[in-house]
Amino acid sequence: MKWPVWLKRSITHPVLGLLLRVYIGGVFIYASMDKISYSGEFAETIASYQLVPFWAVNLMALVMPWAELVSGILMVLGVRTKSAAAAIVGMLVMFSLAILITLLRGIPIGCGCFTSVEEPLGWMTLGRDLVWLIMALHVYIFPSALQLEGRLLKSLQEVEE
Amino acid sequence: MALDRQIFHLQTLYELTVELSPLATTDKLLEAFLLMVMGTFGVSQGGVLLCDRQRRAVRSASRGIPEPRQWTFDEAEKQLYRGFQATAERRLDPMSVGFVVDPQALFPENEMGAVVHTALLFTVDDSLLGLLALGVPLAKRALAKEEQELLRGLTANFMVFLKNAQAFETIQTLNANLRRTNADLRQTITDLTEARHQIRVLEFAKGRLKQLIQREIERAGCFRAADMLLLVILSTVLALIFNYSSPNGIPVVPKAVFQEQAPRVDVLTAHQLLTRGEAVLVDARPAELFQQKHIAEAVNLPAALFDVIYPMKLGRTLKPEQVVLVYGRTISKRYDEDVTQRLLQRHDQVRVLEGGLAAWEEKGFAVAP
Repeated sequence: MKWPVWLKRSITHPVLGLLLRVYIGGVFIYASMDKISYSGEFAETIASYQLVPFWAVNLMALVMPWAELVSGILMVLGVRTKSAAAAIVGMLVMFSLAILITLLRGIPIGCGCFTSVEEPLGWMTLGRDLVWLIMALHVYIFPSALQLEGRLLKSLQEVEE
Repeated sequence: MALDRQIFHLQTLYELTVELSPLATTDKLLEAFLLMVMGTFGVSQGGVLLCDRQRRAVRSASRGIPEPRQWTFDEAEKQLYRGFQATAERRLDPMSVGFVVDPQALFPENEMGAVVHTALLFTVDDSLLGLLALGVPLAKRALAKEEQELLRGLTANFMVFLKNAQAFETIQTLNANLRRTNADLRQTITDLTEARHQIRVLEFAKGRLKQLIQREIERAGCFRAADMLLLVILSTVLALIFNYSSPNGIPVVPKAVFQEQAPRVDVLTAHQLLTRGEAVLVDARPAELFQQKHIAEAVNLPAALFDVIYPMKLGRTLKPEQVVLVYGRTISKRYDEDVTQRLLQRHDQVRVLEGGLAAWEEKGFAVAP
């Protein structure tokens, strides 16, 4: 199947990459805020999924929100974009699998994606995570405009020459 | 008689040569020459003035003058010029000597500090001129012609030594200048070497910086495992720092890992205790899990709501002799241990049900719903 040129151009356009990068990065920064402030509640949320060994729950509840925040900031700024996008893709894959397993096991819990008090986990939650995963993959694969790191390095190179 | 005088003159010349030959500095030569001349001609007052036009310097020595005059270069040059005008020759060639015709008129006592009986001008070269002024001799008479010739000879001899001393001083000055120049040169070489080293270092740094920027530009568009590792380390460090400084901080490893396990009871014993009404069964899991499935007689008492639910459901009805049996744990949370620890603060008889809900079901005992 041959893709129309306009569609191919639109999908690979750097401005689309920029919009998706800022959106996904912003979502992760926002998602991390409540979890960082209330790590105890987030630890309960992780425990409710019944997937992580009990000795690792608190450590995961502490580190994961900061990983979300750091990767989100890197994504928005366009610093180490590929690595940040890879980290976000990895986290979204992990979240999607956790949601899928929990749905299949029929455990009635909230998602805990943004705050500890949320509507129960459902297939819509999984669908939303998969959409975000596609967006993050787009950022990983295609170039995006206004990447701070690239601009800084190019400026340095110009100064050096 | 004439021969004796000749011998005396030669003897004096010889003694002057012996006296001056070990001296290498101008000042010492002036002193020695003046003393020798004054002794030879029996003079109690005398002075010698040397003017170096090239260096614009004046040197002098005097004997027997109570307050010898301090000469400036201009004063000395002027005085010598006047002296040359008053010699018979009017001008003096290098290494020549001339007597001033009327020294007392030319060099009055108030200017010189003493009566000048004999004055003699000498020229070592174009730039080095001198004046020898002698006071009244003990014999109180003018110098005879032979004595004048002797003085002329002594002065000529003195000029040879003076020229040598000047040459020696010039050599010394040149050597000192050379040493300074060498030191400056060595310092310059050291500075240049250091500068060359710094330039090399800077050029190396420039090359490295260029490579680094180029590498970072290439890396910026690539995925790197090291970045992921750095992200994990950074997140962990930030998380731990924030957690320790936050009032909502939690233990990194759950307390249950380090706590001593609560006493256990097996399912059969628990069932017997419940049948006899000697025990109360508590499900420690969250409400949503309790509602999904629980042991039929169990009371739901989640740890998160312990302080609210305990007084309502157990506080009033629980008898001191009754045993509280607690169950409920998952791979991620030991709810039973948490609730047991809190119950033990209020009640003595608290046991954890070994195997929990799964073991209960396995034995075929009733569950709800």
